[in-house]
Amino acid sequence: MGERLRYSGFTGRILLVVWMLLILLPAGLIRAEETGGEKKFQIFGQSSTYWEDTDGENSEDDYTKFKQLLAFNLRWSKFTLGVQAEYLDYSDRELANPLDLDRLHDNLEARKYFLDYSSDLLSARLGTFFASFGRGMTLYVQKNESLGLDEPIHGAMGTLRLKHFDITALGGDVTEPILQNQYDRTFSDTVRGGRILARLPRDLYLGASWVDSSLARFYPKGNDEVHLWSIEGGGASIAGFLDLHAEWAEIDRDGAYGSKTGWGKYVSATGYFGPLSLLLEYKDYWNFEYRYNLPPSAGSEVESYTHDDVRGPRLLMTADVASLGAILTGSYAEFDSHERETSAGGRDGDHQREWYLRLEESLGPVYLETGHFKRRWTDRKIRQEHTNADLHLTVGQRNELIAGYDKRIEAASYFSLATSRSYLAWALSPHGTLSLRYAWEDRSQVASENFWAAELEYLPTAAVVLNVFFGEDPGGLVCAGGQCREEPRFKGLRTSLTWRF
Amino acid sequence: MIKATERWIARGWDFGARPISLMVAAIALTLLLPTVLQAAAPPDFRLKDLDGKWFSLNDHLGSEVIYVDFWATWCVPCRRELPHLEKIFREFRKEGFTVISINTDPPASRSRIKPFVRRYHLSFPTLLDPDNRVLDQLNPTRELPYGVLIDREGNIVRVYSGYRSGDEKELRSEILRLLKQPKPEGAQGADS
Repeated sequence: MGERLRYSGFTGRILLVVWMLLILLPAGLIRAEETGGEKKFQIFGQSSTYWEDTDGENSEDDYTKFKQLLAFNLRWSKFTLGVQAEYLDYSDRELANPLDLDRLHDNLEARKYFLDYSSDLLSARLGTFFASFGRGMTLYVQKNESLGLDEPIHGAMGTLRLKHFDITALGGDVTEPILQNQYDRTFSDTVRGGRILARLPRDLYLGASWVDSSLARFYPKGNDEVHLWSIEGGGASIAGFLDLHAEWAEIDRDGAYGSKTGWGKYVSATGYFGPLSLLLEYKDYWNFEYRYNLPPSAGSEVESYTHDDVRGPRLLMTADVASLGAILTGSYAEFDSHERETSAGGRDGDHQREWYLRLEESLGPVYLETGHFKRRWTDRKIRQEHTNADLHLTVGQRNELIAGYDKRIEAASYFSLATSRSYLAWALSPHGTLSLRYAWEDRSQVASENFWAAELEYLPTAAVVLNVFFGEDPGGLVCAGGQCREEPRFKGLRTSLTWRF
Repeated sequence: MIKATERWIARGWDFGARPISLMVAAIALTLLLPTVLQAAAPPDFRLKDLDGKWFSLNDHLGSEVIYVDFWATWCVPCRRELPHLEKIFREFRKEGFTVISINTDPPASRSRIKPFVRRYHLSFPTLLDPDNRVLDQLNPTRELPYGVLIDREGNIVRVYSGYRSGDEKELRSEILRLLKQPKPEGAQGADS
């Protein structure tokens, strides 16, 4: 099922052009015919053109990258046909930054294509789609910005909405791009599953889901069979102030080296007391991390975690101090590993404590966001800290002065690494934005670097955006949903032209 | 940086004929397509709100001015924009304007969305798109924040990507302009 549409070479390019014209032009003509009457056939989408000229360490490492994205949807009655095609052209693909995952794709690809049907009773899709079940414990296949992944399921999915039940079923293939790149062969996984959710009186719910996956492995060649099931339940606004959710999942994995079982247990309770919100969570994960799940993170969503062996509670409090225009967020968590109990030889466990505080302050033209995060692995004497502050000062109608500071520390008894970065930007925006930026990075006080850049964003019409960046972008760690990615540094010229129709 | 600039200037515009011709072709396509295509209507969607109740765009399409806003709890520009949207929503809701906000956090962060909404006193509907189906259709490159403004006839009028200080003033005047347009025949306005 679902071998992706790929073309390469000159013939492929001709095919793509013909294919786009075949779809776009008749659609446009049909629309034109119907503009006087009731509009039943509609097209909407986006065209984005990117062009980068990257400066390498030496002039022979310089390369250019061109990318043309065309995404459009044709809507007719309850049906929508969608296509997202990308054309890539590198002057030398071998020179491309390893963190640029575009380079793993063919020159020409229909990255997304689908036929959607949507009515009150049924939603169905044939083609590519993303999906998740519950809190992502049994299934999570999404574009993941923090990891730079954008691999959908190629197959079919449907959701039936009955009076008291929602029933979902799906199945298809997913290509694993990172392994494919590392081992120079195609890694294709299969995922299929279902979920049933019963809506009970008083906003209570009860659900169950199952997922069967066949995951390609890099060595020895073959597939791991992974089976998961879960039950979940909870309610919203219980007694007017309490949200509850509980989920229990089990996982069985049959691989080349035998079978392994694991579990994931998650409970959350959120209470609302005037300007104060309190969220109490408990997680217990054992052998639970696999390619297509993303359970609730053990701690802060803007740090990195693994979910194979962790358990413990977390308390998150937010307070709205309206009189001061401030929002205060505080979190405390403690995690333990199961390994501590199971290892008779006194092997180190993984007891962790973490807390963070964040303040958002909005007073007239001033917006300030600042926070401090600290995490300690008490058995291994490892410490991680993150401090950041962003200040935005609006001047006049649209101009803005932005100043920021960010410092990360990783320290143990035998090493300590601190990276701090300060930046300053001035944005002028009468009909777009002209930003001038300066960043200064200091690594453990032994090396420092300066980064200068200018960026123009210009909107000649409401539907067109032109963006030109010239200079150096320091990149850095970007985190979301408990997963992090090191953004590549960039030096050179980067342009994009986006048009939405 | 200075060295890189010197190298870049030394190479002049000699980036090779291929990327330049591709760029020109893309710009030509951008200019050509509007001659055959016109303003579009968004696809209907059904999503659940934070309390698990189904919400359909069709119930509002063709009668109200709608601003569909995509955001996430970790997105700093979203946090700056949302209080302005709430203010505009409160100002114009009785005149037939609504905001439909679609949260794009992963399901794993679901427990943190409602506290966030209450903390910012957001009174417009907040919907969840766990399968990213609506995101795929309306915001294929997944920019945040990202807003789609829809007029009373049900057509997409403008798309807003990102948030810059002062954007809310432009959005407010555009909404005001759309609200002054006559209602289509048979429309069920908020004040009818």
